[in-house]
Amino acid sequence: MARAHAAALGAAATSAQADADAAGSLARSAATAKTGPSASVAPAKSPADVHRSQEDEVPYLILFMTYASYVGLIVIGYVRDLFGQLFKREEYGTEAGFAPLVNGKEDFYTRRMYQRIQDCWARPICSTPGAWIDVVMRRASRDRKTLCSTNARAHCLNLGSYNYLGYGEIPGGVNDVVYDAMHNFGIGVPAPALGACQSAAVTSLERTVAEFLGKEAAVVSGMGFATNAQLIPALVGPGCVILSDALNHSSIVVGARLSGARIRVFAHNDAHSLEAELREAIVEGQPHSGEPWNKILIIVEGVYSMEGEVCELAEIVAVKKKYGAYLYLDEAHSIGALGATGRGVTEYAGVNPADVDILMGTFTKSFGAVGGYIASDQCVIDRVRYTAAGCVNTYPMSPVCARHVEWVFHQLDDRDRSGIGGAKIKSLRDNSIYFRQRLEEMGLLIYGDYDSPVIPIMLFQPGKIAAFSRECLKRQVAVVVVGFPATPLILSRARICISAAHTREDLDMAIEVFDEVSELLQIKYRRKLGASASSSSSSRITDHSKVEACVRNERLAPPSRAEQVAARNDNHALVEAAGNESSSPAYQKAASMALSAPYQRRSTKANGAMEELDHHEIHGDKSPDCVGFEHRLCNGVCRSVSVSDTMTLRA
Amino acid sequence: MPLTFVLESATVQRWLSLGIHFHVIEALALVMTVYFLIQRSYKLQSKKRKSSSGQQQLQQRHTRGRGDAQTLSEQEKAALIASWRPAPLADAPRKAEMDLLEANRSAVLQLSSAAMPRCDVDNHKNVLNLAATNFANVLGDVRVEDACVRTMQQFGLGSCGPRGFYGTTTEHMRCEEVFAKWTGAPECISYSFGSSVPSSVIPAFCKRDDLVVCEEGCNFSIQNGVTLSRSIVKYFKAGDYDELEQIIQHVVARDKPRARMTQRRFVVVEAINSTYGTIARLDKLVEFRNKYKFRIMLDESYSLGALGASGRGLVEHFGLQRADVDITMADAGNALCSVGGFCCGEPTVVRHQRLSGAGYCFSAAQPPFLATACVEAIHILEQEGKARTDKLRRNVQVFRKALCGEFFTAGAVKISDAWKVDGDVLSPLIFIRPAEETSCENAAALAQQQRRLLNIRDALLPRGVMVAVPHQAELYNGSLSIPGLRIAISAGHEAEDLEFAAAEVRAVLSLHESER
Ligand SMILES: Cc1ncc(COP(=O)(O)O)c(C=O)c1O
Repeated sequence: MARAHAAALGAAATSAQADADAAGSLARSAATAKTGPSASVAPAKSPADVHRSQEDEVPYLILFMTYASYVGLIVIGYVRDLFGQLFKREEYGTEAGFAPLVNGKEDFYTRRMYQRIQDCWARPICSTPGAWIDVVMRRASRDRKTLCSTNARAHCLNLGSYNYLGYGEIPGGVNDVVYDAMHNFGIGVPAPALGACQSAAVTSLERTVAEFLGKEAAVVSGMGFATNAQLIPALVGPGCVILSDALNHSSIVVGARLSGARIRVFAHNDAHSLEAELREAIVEGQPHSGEPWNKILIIVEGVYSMEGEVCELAEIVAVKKKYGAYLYLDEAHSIGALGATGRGVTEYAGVNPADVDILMGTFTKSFGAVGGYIASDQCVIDRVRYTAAGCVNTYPMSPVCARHVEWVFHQLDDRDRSGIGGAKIKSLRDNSIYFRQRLEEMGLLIYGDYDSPVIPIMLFQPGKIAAFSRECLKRQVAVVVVGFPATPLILSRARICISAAHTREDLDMAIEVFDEVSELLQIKYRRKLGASASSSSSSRITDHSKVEACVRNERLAPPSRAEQVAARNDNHALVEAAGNESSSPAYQKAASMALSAPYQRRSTKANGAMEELDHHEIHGDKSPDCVGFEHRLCNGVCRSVSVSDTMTLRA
Repeated sequence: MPLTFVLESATVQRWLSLGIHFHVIEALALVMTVYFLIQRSYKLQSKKRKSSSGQQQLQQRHTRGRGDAQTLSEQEKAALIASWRPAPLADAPRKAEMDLLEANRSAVLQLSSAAMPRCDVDNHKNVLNLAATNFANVLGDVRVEDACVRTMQQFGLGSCGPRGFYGTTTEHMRCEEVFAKWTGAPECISYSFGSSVPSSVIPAFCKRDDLVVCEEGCNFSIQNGVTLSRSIVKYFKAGDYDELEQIIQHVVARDKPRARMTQRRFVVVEAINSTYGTIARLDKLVEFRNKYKFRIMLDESYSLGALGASGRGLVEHFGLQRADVDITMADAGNALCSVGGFCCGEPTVVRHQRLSGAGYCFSAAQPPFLATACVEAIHILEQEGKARTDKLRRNVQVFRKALCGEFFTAGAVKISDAWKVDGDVLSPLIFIRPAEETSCENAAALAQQQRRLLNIRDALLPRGVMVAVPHQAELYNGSLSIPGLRIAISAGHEAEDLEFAAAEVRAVLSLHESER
C-alpha cells in the first residue's frame, strides 16, 4: 500500500516535469527512491521517537562538562562585572538621566562569553568566497575589546561560505553578463517598483524564476531576509494561523510576528506534531469569538541551515493536503543545491511543486548574488506585488545581481548546453556525500542528512568552539563555528558547507586536518559512544529498514532505455565539464570511464555491488563506509559515478 | 591496601597538592553543575508542556477561544476539522487591501535603461525621470562603475555568507569606515538592504516596556521595527513639535524623582519625512533630548546627499554634531545609488547590533561591489558635495517656483482648488496631493484616489515626464499612507527641463481637476 502511494507520488513528480530531459529522468529515480522508504517507514515511528529532541541524544558526561563550562564562564563573568562596576565606573555607567542603552543582563553573554572568543567570527577575507579564501589575520586591540586587521593573510580552504554551486568564484560568477547589466541597467534603481518603475532586468528574472520552479508567477525582493520578513504579512494576517517549524530561520519568525497571525510552533521536522497542532488549531478556532480561522499557513525550510537536515516534505505535504492548509517552503539553502536539476527539495523528495503553495528562496547561497523570491500562483503573486508594503515600498535588488542570477538559472536549466550547471549540481552532491561519509568514519558526531551540503559537527563545549576554529585556521582550513544564540546552549557545533568548487584533494586535506584537530580536542564522540549512540544520532537514512527498502526499490525500477540514453548524454556532459576547473577529479575520472566502458557493464557492476550490500546486511555489517555507499545507491543519481567512486574508495 | 595504592598514585597526589582554593572552586562548580542537572531532569518530564508554553510566549496571550475545546468529544472535533474550509490564499489578510489590489494593478512600469535623470520607460524613450531619488546624480558615474568592476574582479559578485561567517570582506570594512568618517560618527555598521535597517535597529535597542515616540508618516520599516520591539509606542503629528513636547512631558511627569531610570526612551524621526516631505527640526529634538533625556533615532535615508552645505545630511543642515544624535540610520538606495543600509553611532551602539541586529546577523552580507559603490559615491560627495547639493537646491527652487508660483517659499501650498503641494521648501521630495483629505479609514475612497493618481502618472508619461505614486499599503498600525504624487528632484536635472515638467504636471492636474 505504502509502496503504491510512493509510486503515485513519484509519478506525480514526473508528470510535473513533462519536458524531462536527461537530468529529469534521473530525477525520477531519485524521487522514487527517496519517497519510497520515507512513506513506508513513517508509520513505524513510535510516539517516543516523535518527541525525542537532539538534546536527549547528548551523552551525559558531555552534557555535564558543557554545563560545567558554562557555569564557570558565568561565575567568572559575574565576578568581572562586579569589579568592573566597582572600579571602572565610567565604562559601566551611562549618561546621567538615561537608562542604559543596553541592559547589563542583556549583553552579559556578549561581553563575557562572545567577546572572549570573538576572533572565531567575522573574520574578514580579501578574496572571493570561493573554495580557497585569503583570511585577514587580526590581533586584539589595546583595550582587548576589538580586533584590528593586520597585514598578514592566511590562504585557507573555505568550508564556511554558502557557495554551494561555486558561483561565488570569479570564473563562474563575474562575466560579461554582469558588466553589461551594470552599464545598461545601473548598479541600483533608486525608485520603488510600484507607483514608479521596475528594472526590466528584475522583471525578466521574475519570469525566469517562475518558469524554473514550475509556478505561474514570482516576485523578487532585494534581500532574502526581507523576503520572509516583509512578504509573509501580505499572505496571512489577523484571523489566520501560522504553523512554524521549531527551528525556522529568524527571518521567518520576524515575518510571522509582523503578520499579526497567531503563531503555533510544531516539533522540528515532525509531521506528526504538525498534524496534532493543526488539528488543535482548527478545533480551537479564533480566540474570543471561536470563529473558524481564515487560513492556516505551514512554514518550513527545505534544508535547515544549522542542522543540515532535509525537510520531510512528502509527509508534510500529505498533512497539508489532508486538512486544506497552505504550505510555504523556504528553500534558501536547498534551491540549486538539492535535486538532480537543482530545483530544490520538491524535486529531491519527489513532490509536485504544485503541492507546495508558496516556494521561497534566496539568491545569496547557490547563486552567489543577493536577493530573494517568492513563487506561487498568479493571483497570490498579484496580491503580494500590489499590496505588500515590503515588496514595493522598498528598493528592488540590484539589476546587476538580477542579471547574474538569471544567467545562473539558465545554466542550471542547461540552456547554454554547456552542461556546467548539471555538473556543478552533481559535483556538490558527490562532495557532500563523500565528506560526510569520511567524517562519520572518523568518528565525529554529525547531524543531518546525506545529500545535504550542510554538515554540522557537534562540539558541545564552549571551550571547544574556539579551539576548533583556531586550530583549523592554523592548519589553513576556515570553518564556521556556531554557539548559543544560533543554536541551543549546549549544542554548539562547527558547520561545514560543502561547495561544488571543492576538489577531492581539498576535501581530503580538510579531513586530515579535522582528524588531527579532533584528536587534539577529543571530539570524536561517535567513536567513544559506540554503535548504539551512533545509530540514533546519525542521519535518518542509515535506518536499517529504510536502506533495505531503498535497495529494493532501486531494483524494482531497472534503468529504462531513456535513462540509459540520458546517462550516456550525461557522461558526455561530464567529459566537457571535466575541462571546467570547478569539477572534481572524481568527475574527470568518472567521465573518462564513462567514455571508455560501455554503460551496460557498469550497471552490472552496480548490481554486483548491491549483492555485496545485501551480504553486508545479512551479517549486520554496517561499516560507515558501507552506509555511505548504500545511500548513494538509494538515491539512484549519477549511478555510474558513485559506483566507480566507491570502488576507488574501497581500493 | 588498594586505597593506599590509590592515594599514593601520582595523579591523586598532584591533585591533592593543588591547594585549598582550587578545591573550593571545584566544589562550587560541582554543586552548580549538579543543580543544573537536577533542573534538567525536571525539564525532561515537562518537555511537552514546556514546548507549548514556548508557543504562548510567541503570541500575545489569548484566553482560550472556545474555552470548552477540551470538553468536545472526539467526534465533535473530527466534525469540526472536516468542516473547516480555508479562505483562498490570495485573499487579502487585511480588509482595506481588497480594493487596492485592483487600483494598483498595472502600476509597475518597465524601466529598460538605468534610472538616470532621463530614462526609457515602457514604450516611452528619453523620459524625464522625477521618480528616482538619485539626488546627487551619482548613478551611472564612471568612477563608481570602474571601481565596482575592480572590486568584482577581486571579490567576485556575491558575498555567499553572513558577515559573521566569512561574508565580511575588507571592502565592507572600508565602506563602514568611510561612511562613518563622512557622516562624522565614531563607528558604523552596514546592512545588506536599506529597509531592513530600522526594522532591525529598533528592536535591537527597544524592548518590552521601553518607549518609542514616532513621527506620523514615517516609513513602513520604522513601523515594522516598532511592532517587533513590543515597546510602548506613541505617534505625534508630522512637524508638530509642540505635540511631541506634550507627549514627552506627559511621560516625564510620571517619573519618580531621583529614581534610577530603567526605561529606554527614543524619538524616532525621518530627516525628510517619506510621506509629507517635511524636514525634521533637529535643533528642537536635540534640545528635547537634553532636557527630557530621550534618545534620538534619526533616519537620514532621504537627507544624505541632499541636505547640508556639503550633502552630509540633516546634522550638517542644522550645524550640529553627529554626536548629538544617538543613532543614525540610512538607506544606501537613495543618494548613494547602491543597495544596502547603514547605521552609525557610538561604538556601543554599533557593536551591540553586530550580535543583535536581526537583519545583520541572519542575512548574507551585501555583495562587496555594492559596498564599493557606496564608497565611491561618498568619495564623489566628499569632493563635489558642495557643488552638487547647491545645484540640487537650485533645482528644487526652480521646480517649486514653476509649480507653485510666487508662494513657493511657503512650504505647503495650495496650487489649485483641487491640489496642494506638501513638503519643506528645501526638500528634494515634493508631494502633490488632493486638497481635501481623504479619510484614512475609508479604504474604498483611498483606492479610488490611488487609481486617479495613477491615471495622472500615466497621462504624464507620453508628455515625457515620469513621477512616482508612492504605494500605499495598510500598515500594521492600521493606517494607510495618504495618496499623492511624489516628485524627486536630482542634481542631474536641467533647470529648463524642470520648468517644462512643472508646466506639464500643472496641465495634467488641471485636466484631472474635476474627476473624482
Ligand atoms: C532559511 C533561510 N531563509 C532566509 C535567509 C536569509 O537570506 P539572505 O541571507 O539572502 O538574506 C536565510 C539565510 O541565512 C535562511 O537560512
